[in-house]
Amino acid sequence: MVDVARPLAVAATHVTKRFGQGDAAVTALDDISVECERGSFTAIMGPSGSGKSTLMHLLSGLDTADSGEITIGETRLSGLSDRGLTELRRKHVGFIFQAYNLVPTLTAEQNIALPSLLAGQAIDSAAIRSLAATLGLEGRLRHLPAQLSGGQQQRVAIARALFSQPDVIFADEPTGNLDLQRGLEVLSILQRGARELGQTIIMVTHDAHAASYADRVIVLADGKIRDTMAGGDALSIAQTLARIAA
Amino acid sequence: MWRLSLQMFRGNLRRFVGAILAGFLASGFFATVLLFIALINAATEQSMGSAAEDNEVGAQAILGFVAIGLIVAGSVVFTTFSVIVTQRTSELALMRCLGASRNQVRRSIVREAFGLGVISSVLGDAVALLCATVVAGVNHVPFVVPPAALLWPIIITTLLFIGAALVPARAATRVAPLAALRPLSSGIADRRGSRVRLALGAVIAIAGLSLLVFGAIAPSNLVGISALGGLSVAVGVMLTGLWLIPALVVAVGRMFGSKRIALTLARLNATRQPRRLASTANAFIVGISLVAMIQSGMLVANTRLENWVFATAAEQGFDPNETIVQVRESLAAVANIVSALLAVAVLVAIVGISNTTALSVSERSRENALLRALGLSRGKLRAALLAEALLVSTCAALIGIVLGWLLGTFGVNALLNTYLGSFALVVPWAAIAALLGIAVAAGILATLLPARRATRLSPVAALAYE
Repeated sequence: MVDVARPLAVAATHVTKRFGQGDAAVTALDDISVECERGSFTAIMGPSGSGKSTLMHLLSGLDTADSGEITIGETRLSGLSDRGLTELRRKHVGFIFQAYNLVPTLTAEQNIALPSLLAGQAIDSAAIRSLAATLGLEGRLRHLPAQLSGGQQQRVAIARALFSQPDVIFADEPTGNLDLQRGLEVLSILQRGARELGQTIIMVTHDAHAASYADRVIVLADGKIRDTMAGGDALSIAQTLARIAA
Repeated sequence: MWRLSLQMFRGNLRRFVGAILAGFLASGFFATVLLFIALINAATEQSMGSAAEDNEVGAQAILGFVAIGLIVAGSVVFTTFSVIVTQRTSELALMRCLGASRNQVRRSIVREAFGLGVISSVLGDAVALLCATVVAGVNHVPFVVPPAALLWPIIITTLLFIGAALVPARAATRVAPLAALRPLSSGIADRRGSRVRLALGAVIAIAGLSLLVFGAIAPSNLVGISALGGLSVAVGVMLTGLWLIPALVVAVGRMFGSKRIALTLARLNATRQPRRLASTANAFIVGISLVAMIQSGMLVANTRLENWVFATAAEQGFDPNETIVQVRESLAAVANIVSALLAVAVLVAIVGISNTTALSVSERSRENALLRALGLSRGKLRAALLAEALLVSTCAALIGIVLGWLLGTFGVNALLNTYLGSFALVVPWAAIAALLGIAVAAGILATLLPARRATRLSPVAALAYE
């Protein structure tokens, strides 16, 4: 892939978000600017209450900023109606959550195809099968979520996010409910997604080891960006976190 | 999307059993009535050689009871979807995150209502058709099934179900995609009604009660005034139900003791979602109050007639006993037939109570597991669930009985005001005891299955359950 100036997948400029009113008001995000290039794998870290989840909600259009501008692909989020945001989520954004990722009454295959089905697009079953095969889900496509292990469920969620080739995938503590080994599998799949498929990924996590799989780590505290690291091993990330928390 | 919707519908079918049963009873009753009207017409034609038209009035009266049953079934469907939308918040939010529009969410709920309506009315048709065919065969009546008798129940029931699901479907469209990221919180408190509604309801009820009583004891015939009053009382009770029912449940619960843990849990759980409680209870109140009204009204008519017969007999010198026996028998027969016709509505409401209990119990499975982990015994948990259903059914029955007694007693007194005898204040104790018995049975029946499921779940398994 030749990229002269790699275009941005997600950009946030001077974003501020407050919760509550008057004396009880809390500034969750204080004038934050972030840019994510196409094909980049960014981890957002920070202690509880640092604003990392709020930032993800705003970047993905699930919540609206009080001020500032957010752009996904070529779409500016401010002023988008519910209909516009729905369209955006369908075509340009993928989600991977910590838990409750799959519709329990639908098979793995149907869950993967769901965003495309909601958009009224024809489904390429062969494409789903080959994607599932790369994620080690062969022979699992006809299973219901309850018949899959936690790691398999999470891989189905990743397949769903990858399938529609969105501008960006948001992963919210994707390894939070998994044991160590299954967590590593999920993280290396995400890493390969970014490196081999050029898929932009933004992951929120409080786990330094998970963050070490990203190309870049943004550390938040008290609603501000405290540090930006170009990757690194789990130990150096953990040390940075500890320094900021101290 | 249709195939997908169908599969999600099948996956959720377990939650819809109550709604299907309610719809089946109400629409089966509808189909049975229509088929038997046709059957009776066919039999009359066979014996008389010409079409009979005498049954028209009776048929219309019976269709009134069909309508009551259907309305109660509609309220069960409404409650079911309201509860299910709350329970499926995570799933709906996930769908919204994946790009489902508000319209797609709304349509998915409406489609489910459509499916339930069709399933329950087709089942109802099948059973009604079976009954009619057997009766026709036994009596050797040449019976051609009129298609309309099978089509109308399907059309009306399906439309009713869709109508009942519209408000919950709107609530479903308001689920924010962000809700998918929040931890699941079970007892989400629902909105309370406005004070204006409470005040308005109270004023209407009290004004209506005054009119009702005034029409009954005034020295001239004021049936119209009393009818207006009675209608106002019923409307007032429905408007204030959102406060009246929880308040009564709390009062009755406290009466039986606030120290016992099972009772306290039952009282708190029953009143946790006032709207859910009120809509469940209202369905039961409708059926119970109508039966109580008929029984009270018939007793008043009976008493006034007897008094009048005694007075006339003394004047004209005949033996009153023979006449009185006849009067008593015919009035009792009418009251019992009407009560039997209302039994369908009561039965549907019982299904409703059972349904709400089951849905609430499955919603609270984690909470129940926590209680068990903290040391609540299996028996105590079962007792709490039983007490909860009993509180709902008996309190609804109490309100229904008082409402029905007021309407029946003063209504019939107003109706007969200047004709027969004088004002009679009587209470149909036997009927009231029977209705309370039905309420207790309904409460016990409602907890049989949910309690078994809730108590079988081990504390650890339920806490781990996602």
